[in-house]
Amino acid sequence: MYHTACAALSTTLLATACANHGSPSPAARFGGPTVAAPLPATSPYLAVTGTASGYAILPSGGSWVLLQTSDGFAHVVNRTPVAVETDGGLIGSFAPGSAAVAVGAHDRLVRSPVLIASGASTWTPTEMPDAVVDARAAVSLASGTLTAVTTGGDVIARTETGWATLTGVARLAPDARLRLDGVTWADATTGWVTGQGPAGPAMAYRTTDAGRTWAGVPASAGTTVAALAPCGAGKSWLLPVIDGAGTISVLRTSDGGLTWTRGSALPVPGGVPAWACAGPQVWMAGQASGADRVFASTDGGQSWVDRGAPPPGLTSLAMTGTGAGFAVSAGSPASLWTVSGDGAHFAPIVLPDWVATIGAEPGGD
Amino acid sequence: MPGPDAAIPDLGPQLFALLLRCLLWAAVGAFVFGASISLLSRRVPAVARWREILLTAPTTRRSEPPARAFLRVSLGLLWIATGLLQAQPKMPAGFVPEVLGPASDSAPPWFGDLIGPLARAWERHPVSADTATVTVQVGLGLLLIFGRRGRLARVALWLSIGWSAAVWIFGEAFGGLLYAGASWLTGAPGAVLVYAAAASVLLAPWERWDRGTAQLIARRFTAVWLGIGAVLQALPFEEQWTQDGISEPFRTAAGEPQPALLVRPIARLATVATGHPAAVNATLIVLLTVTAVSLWVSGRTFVVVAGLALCALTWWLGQDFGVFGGTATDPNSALPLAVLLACALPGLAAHEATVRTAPTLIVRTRNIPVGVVAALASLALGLTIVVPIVLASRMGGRADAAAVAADSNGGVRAIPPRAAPSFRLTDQRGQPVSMSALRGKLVLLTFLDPVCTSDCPLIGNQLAIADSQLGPLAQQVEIVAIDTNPTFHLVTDVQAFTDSHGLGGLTNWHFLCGPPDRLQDVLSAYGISVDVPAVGMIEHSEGMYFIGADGRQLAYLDDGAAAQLTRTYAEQVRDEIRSLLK
Repeated sequence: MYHTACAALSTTLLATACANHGSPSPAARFGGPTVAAPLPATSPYLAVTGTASGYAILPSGGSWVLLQTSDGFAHVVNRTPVAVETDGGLIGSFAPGSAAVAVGAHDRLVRSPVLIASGASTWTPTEMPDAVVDARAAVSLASGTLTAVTTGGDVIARTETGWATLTGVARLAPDARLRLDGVTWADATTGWVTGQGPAGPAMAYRTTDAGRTWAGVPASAGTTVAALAPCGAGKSWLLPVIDGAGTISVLRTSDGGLTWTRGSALPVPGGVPAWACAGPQVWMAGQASGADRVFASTDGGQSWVDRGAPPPGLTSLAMTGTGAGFAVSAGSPASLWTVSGDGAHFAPIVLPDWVATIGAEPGGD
Repeated sequence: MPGPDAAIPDLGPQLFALLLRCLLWAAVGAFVFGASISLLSRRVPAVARWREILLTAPTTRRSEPPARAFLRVSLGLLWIATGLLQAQPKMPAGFVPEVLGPASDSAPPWFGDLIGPLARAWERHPVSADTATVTVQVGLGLLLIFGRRGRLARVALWLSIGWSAAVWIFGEAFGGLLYAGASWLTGAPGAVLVYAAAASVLLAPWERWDRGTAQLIARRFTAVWLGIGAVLQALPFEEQWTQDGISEPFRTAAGEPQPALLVRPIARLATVATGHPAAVNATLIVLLTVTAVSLWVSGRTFVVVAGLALCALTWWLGQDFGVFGGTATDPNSALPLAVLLACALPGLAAHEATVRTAPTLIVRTRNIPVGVVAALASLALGLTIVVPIVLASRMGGRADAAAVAADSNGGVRAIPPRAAPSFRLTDQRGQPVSMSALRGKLVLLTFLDPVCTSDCPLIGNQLAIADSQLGPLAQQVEIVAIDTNPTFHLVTDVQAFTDSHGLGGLTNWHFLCGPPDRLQDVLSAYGISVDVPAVGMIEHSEGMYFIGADGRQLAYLDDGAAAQLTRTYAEQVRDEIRSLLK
């Protein structure tokens, strides 16, 4: 199973994870700046803010567009930040009353513009002092504070006078070649950063004092090579981790991160990991017999039920209620799906034609 | 409010006037050269022998086969027509952006690398380059017309082939074969290849013309060309089965200014092709194929005439005579192909004895005194070889005076010295900057988008280079950029751009921002337009004003993107500053 999984892995991260067993050089494994995050923002993804409302980040021509819906994607409006090139991806943090979108850096755009909106207002622009990481969880807008993870390895927060560095790889794991790619906040004081790197050091860190001090999540150390952004609220959190053997499992805590329990492992999917959670319920796209399957868990990843085959190329799952939600798969163009039956059924959503073409002829000067 | 379009005169006419002057001098120089050769040949035995070597044929034949004479003179006239097209008013300034540029845009990147040196040389010396091109082509035509026989005639034919190859590669981008859309109608695989083919046929010994072998080659070459046309029309990736593909030549031709009588059938054909693309293309393929096969197997008069008719109709309806539009570099393929095919008309395959009844188009140079022929041939030789060599030898140095004033695609232009519109904005340090506060120094004023990822960072980088190359003179200069982005208009935005692109260390650099409406007022005052698309970067016009210490506009550098192509943006800025500070 291990070799089968490795052969099927297509993401750079997971391929690298498999290579860990064969290559003794950590520098060769994680030394380059091009290692992709496990959940890259340059793949289609969804962010739901209610049972029928949310956002989709999809490719359009050579650009990425941000679509907003309030009726389950029956209708969408273009909310792509204007006046800036978006072919480096869009990294968003979305809540019912607010949103922040960082423009992925690329080419000569070496500092990421960030646009913040409250309610239905237009975007308010600002600019990060560095480039944002190409990872879906690299930006967080919570409790009125905008934080982001930069390609320089820092976690920065926007203040009234500019940007302040909360932490960074130099402080968290100076010798571990850790690459941070996610920041998540439970409230104004409790938050998480997650990353990837060679097996050994912790891949997730937690703060309970608004970022002044950070402690590694012990359960994410050892064989883990990547931790995905956690999901949860209050004291209960789920933290998916990927190990060097090509399996993904969910760590869960019910005491705010003091103690952790590891669930049973699933083989990683052939593409970008797609997963979603709602309380103790978890949905994960993994592999079975060489093909992608959707697995569902009602006990925080302790046990899994095979729900069937998802559409090919699934890159994002977003569950909004009792066994229902939305999904998106990569392709040309990307496809949106409604999910029902606890992940067993996928029905395509027809998007307007302009979605696929509006970014085809971006401007320029 | 005046913008750059209103403020800056169109220097195309000036360049054309310079071209005419240059051509006049070239003609005078060549005439003097030719007359000198002619005179010297009477008095100096060595020159006389040289004349004999050049003009004496290695054959004892006295009269040229009429079909050959027809093709030779026709090819000569075609070269002259091509040369005159190259002397059109738009050519000095328009050759790179309107001829080379579109071909380069559609072709693979290596083609851009290939023609890059030529484009840069042309942009620096548009008048010299165009003059050389005109004289080569007119000279070739004259050499062919007056070079009936002898070594000079053969040199002219070989030069025709060589020049055709150069034009095919650099001027026609391999006849349009490098990108989709090559078709019989567009002239693919390249009109100038027909010139080369005609010259090659003319190289055949006269005896082969008597036997009809040369005419057979000409006819079959035409058949092959028509066959290639049919194949190009049929290939799916050439897009001739699509509405846009098949109708594009007709639509383009219908849009060119020309007499209504000529354009009406073309417009009608454009409508039919748009409505029934497959039917029109299929009909064309059948016509081409049938004609090609017929010409290959038969040289009978009606077959050749049918081929000529197809060429004639194509030249009119599909190629719009090849000359409308102002930037045509040749009459397109159908006319030279018809000329080549016409020499295969059985009526022209006459024996030496019938030469006196040949068409009057043939210039009977044998009746012209040999001294005059020698002088004209020498004049042509001067135009073809001497003038281009003299001009080319000058192109390695500084740009033409004309190019300094206005190179063919971007470049510094003198503008009327009126007061620069005022503004008061904030720079990347948060400091207020106004036009009036900059008085006393030379101001470079440009317009940039702080989150742009295409030209603006390059322009910023070039400005930094220019500033560093100025040395102590930089103290007399202030470099000012106005933020063009209505979304990213804060101090942090322009500060980020400054820090990201190597401009942070320049004390004389000011990237100005402000409220969008105030920025818009300034941009409008300077004629800069901004468009914000639904997705992607803003689009804004580019340019740089050179404003004197007294606050008056002195010069304008157009189109930074074009300057990038020539890689002389920093040089142009630096040189212009040095010139203005003298």
